Amino acid sequence: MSDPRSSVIDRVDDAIYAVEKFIVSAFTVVMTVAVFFDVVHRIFVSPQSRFAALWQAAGVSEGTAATLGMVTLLLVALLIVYGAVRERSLSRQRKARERGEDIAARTPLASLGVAAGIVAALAIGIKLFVTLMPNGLVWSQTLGLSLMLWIGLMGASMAAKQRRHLALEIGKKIWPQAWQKYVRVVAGVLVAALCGFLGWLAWTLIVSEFHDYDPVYRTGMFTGLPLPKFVVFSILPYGFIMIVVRYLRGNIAAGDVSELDHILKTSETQS
Amino acid sequence: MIIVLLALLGSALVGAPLFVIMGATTIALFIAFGGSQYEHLHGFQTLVVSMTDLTTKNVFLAIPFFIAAGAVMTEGGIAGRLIRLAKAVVGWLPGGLAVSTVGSAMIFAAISGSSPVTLIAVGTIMFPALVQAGYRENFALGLVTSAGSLGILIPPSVPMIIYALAVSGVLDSPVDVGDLFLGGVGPGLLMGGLLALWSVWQGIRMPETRIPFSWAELRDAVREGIWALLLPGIILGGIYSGFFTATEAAAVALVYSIVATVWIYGDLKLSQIPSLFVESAVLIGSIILIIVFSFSLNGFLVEAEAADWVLAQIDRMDLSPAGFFLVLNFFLIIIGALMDPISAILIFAPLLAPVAAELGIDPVHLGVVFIVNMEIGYLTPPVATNLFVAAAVFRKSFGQVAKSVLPSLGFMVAGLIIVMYVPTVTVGLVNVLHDRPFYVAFPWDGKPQVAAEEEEDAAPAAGGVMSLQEMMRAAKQNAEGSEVEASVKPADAQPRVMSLQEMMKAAKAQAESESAGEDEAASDDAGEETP
Repeated sequence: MSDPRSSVIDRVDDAIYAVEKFIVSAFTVVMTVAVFFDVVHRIFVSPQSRFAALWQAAGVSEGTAATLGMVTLLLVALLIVYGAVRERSLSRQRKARERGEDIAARTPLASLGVAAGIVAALAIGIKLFVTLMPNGLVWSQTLGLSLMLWIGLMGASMAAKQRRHLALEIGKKIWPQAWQKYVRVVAGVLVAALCGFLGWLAWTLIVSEFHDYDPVYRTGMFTGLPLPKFVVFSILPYGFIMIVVRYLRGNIAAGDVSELDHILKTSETQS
Repeated sequence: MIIVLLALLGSALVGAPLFVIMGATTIALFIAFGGSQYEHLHGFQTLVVSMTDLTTKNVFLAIPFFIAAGAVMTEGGIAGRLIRLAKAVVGWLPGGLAVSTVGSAMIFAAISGSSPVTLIAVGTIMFPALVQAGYRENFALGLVTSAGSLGILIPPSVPMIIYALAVSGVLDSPVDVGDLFLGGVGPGLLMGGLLALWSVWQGIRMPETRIPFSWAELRDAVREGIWALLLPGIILGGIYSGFFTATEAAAVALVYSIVATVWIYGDLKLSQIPSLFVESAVLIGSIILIIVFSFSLNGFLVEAEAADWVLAQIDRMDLSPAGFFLVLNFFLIIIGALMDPISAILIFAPLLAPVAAELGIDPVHLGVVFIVNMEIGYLTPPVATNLFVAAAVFRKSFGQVAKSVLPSLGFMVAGLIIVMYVPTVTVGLVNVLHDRPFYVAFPWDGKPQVAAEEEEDAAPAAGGVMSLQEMMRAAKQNAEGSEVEASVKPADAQPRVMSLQEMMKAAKAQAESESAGEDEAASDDAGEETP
């Protein structure tokens, strides 16, 4: 039997919230991977890498320095990965002991073998990456910032649902309990008025960006990233409208919902 | 002004979110003082444009990465490992258990980025352990409650990134996040050192609380805890060795924290990571609108020359930089007691930074002092987040917790005074990094420290012929003007290459703006109204 307190609006809101959770998680993964791989490409792989530069500074020719730089990188990577593999093995053994089981940890030599395999796989992966994308991901931070805007505004919408927006506590403490309901309504109206206004402004901005967009002349797009600005900025009105809806739902309908809760709880106790 | 105050007061009194208070205040200021542009609703488009501007501020990207990395490491249960490591390293000292509480709380807070979370994670283990070892309950309570607040000084620190973002638009040159991170190390160690000394003093009277030193335990503790301990090292080492910028360091930190907790330690499953990302997104969502409105508000303050007004008041009060700093700190402690650090930084730092710079106070120094004040605010009612959390977690009365932190507060205020008037503690390491003298005297006479090289670097007077080198420099400044990024940029970074046409255009724009500035000054001198 469905929960009588869960209205259609609540269910729709929960569904939107689930989609928002998926999007912010996916976007965080994408922007992390993009920026991380750009760093990997630049630092460890390109001919001008730091390790190669160190060898060059020691008087080695450019070509040899690049090779020696790669070898140095592989050795450093091997050392780090070995440490990680060994600790992983010991950690699993410790946890097994805590559960009362007894498993043998990998020997140092076996750990070194596993580490060498991982480093080899990483080296091949990086080589493939460089071959396929010789210029790296120079657009990664632009993409990251665009996704960041989406994460931020969706986060703001989610924070509205969870009542996690920062507020001065004073407002909740100075009013008598009986007035709290009305104070929340006023706060909800204020949020709705401001965010509604901002939502409208954001919509006019998107319309303007849409008119500016021209893929042929590359206007209305980000520098170095063929992504229309109006698409990225479309999160702004969405975010504001969701904040309006969630604050109105939470604050203005709060009186009714709490009344309903009270009635339900009373009837449950009586039955 | 009455409208502004009403907007501020009204919104605050009904418990509206802080972004509404800031938004309402900004709009009220624009209407009251912004001129004819704001007579039409479309004039407020600037509020939305400042949100789209976030997509041009690379350093902003560091915030979600650091928050997510902190969440992953915290959830991964690094607290126990750090405590074991701290015990193995300093446990043999008098008061060793208390000193290790300070050390582990500092490192944990730096990694997690949250003072209350540190209090819960480290405090719940160390408070009973300290009491059991024979320390006074109030000492143990005060120590665990205050030690976690040091984390916002130790890199990576989100409040420092926020400070850099907030003040860079109002100062002549942007504040470097890398410099701020490094600037926080000295004061962080000083504050931690003072708390550790206090712990040693307590421990001298209780020799039985010492933990015998063991090389085997140290080896095991290092092997187990090194992967958690490496995170701040990777971030700082990466930035200062020139391997990556602050933003990139944040992305590397996030990837590293996932590898460490999921693959190496096996504390988390990969399927748990998305929920931590969601949690981070909500946290970012709760501050993003405040950040955006603070940018709009800052823009207004710059246009209204609010800093000049404050400076005029200081002149009128005949305040020296030392006096100004003292007054400023009283003000910040009160603000820290009333607001959370990020909101306080966003609202007040842009107003105070230009004034301090004019008085010869380094923006990095001001930033660190600002954050030390906010740290003290964590322990000062009525907001006093840490006191409330401690009272709830350890099931003690608020009064007892408040009383227990008084000695720590005393040490922190003493540390603050040292940090305030001995700028070397803050900027010494930064100076060494930039090949400048380590020692810096406090600007007692208030002379702005204008470096000769800056004067040499200044663009030629408007109308003068610029060399290609000057054009390139001007164009570079123009292109990077809106970005705050670690100055220790990788030597092999790949910035966008500008065409000569773009460089000339940028140089021309700069020359024109300077020319316009001179015209404005001339018309002001002549008593004409500037359009």
